[in-house]
Amino acid sequence: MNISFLGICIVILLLCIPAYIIFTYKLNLLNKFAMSVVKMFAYMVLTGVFLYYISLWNSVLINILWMIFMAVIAAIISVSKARLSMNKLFFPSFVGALSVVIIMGLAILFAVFSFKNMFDARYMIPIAGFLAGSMIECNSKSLETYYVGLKNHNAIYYYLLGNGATHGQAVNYFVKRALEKNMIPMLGKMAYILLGVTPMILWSMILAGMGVIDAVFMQILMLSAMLAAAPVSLLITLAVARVYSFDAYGQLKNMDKTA
Amino acid sequence: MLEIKNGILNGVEYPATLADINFSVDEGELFCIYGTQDDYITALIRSMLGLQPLKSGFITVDGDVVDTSSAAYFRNMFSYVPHDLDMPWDKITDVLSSPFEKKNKITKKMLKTELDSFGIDATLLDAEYSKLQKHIAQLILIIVAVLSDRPYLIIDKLYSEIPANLLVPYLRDYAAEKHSVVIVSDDEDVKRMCDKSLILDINV
Repeated sequence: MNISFLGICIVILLLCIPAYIIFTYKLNLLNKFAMSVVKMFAYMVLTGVFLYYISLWNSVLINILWMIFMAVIAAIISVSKARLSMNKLFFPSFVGALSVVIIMGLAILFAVFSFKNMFDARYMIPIAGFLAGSMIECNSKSLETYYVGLKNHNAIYYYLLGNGATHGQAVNYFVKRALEKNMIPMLGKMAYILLGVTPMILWSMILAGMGVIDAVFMQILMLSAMLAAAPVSLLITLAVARVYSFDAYGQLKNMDKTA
Repeated sequence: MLEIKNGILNGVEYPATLADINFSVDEGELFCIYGTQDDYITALIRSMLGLQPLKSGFITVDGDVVDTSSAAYFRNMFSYVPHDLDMPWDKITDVLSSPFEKKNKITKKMLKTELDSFGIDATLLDAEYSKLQKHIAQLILIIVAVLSDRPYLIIDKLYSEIPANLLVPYLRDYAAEKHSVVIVSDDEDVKRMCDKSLILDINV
């Protein structure tokens, strides 16, 4: 594929359409639209630069470092969006994200590309991105649900603890609520992903030379991984977070953002 | 025996003139903690259950100090009935499937028998939990705790709608079977009917 001057003109023309609509109908969205476009270009340029050099070097070590970097970003954004203490939750969230990105990512790579090609940057980088990206929104909502529930509706927690239940038994109700909150966005988005995003990805894969059946299988594999990634990373995060979230007596510490 | 020796509560304001908390509850005794200040009562209850430490002093159960390493073990000897009943249950009988260990399997039939002795309509067991009156819910939890047959029972802030002349004799019969009962209440009748009491009215 060659990027032509005509292609660039079409991009600019396409972006002018929403700008024109906003201006004509006086929608008061011009600033937001401009910011979104600037962010999009900045993000795509940065990502392009990173991916260019990563693909150029195609080093296993750098590819793994990139996966770790993706897990760091996922952890920071998840905890930040949940408005919880970064000091206490970054590490558990990072461990949860990293476990999924590395273990699930490598499993997918091995299943699809065999041991020979699985460490290739062309494959490792997008899969790390898919997995990390699928976790962020789900985990931020579920972490918020878990800790806000424990802070504000903890009668059942203290009732069970006070009657001799283990910590795991006492938080089980809150874990269940967090898992529901975790899986609902992804399940809800499946229709959008299938109709809105999948055709683009399938088309890209076929354009790149992949067979139709391989491309469909790859898409099913990725969607399945995205469905599994968020709840698995949440459970790992909550397990690791126990040490940081509860004191030796089982009392919840202050998990607010400012703590 | 449950004992607090030279106890100063953690997490609450403590006037310098206030004496330390000292009391013990033996087998067969009903002990009343008489007070109205929720934060002190909560701090004391949680300290007794090993859910928070004392600022100073110590708590012992059968002579052994309750600390971070032993608290979870001792809590298996306690039945705890809270005042805050905001539970995510559909019906009150959901408590029967709670994950803590019970010596005996408690059935709905057993609950009905106990409720009959209080003159309460047993069909309430099938009512939606959110529509159940708080004092009825607490009474049912007290019955579940009694039927759980653990050495120590702590009742946090008894609802005054539960008639003391019915409940205290019921708990006395329970205590007589080698149990210790601690009741938090601001009801004079409950205080009077218990064997010992601690007045926890702290003016800061």
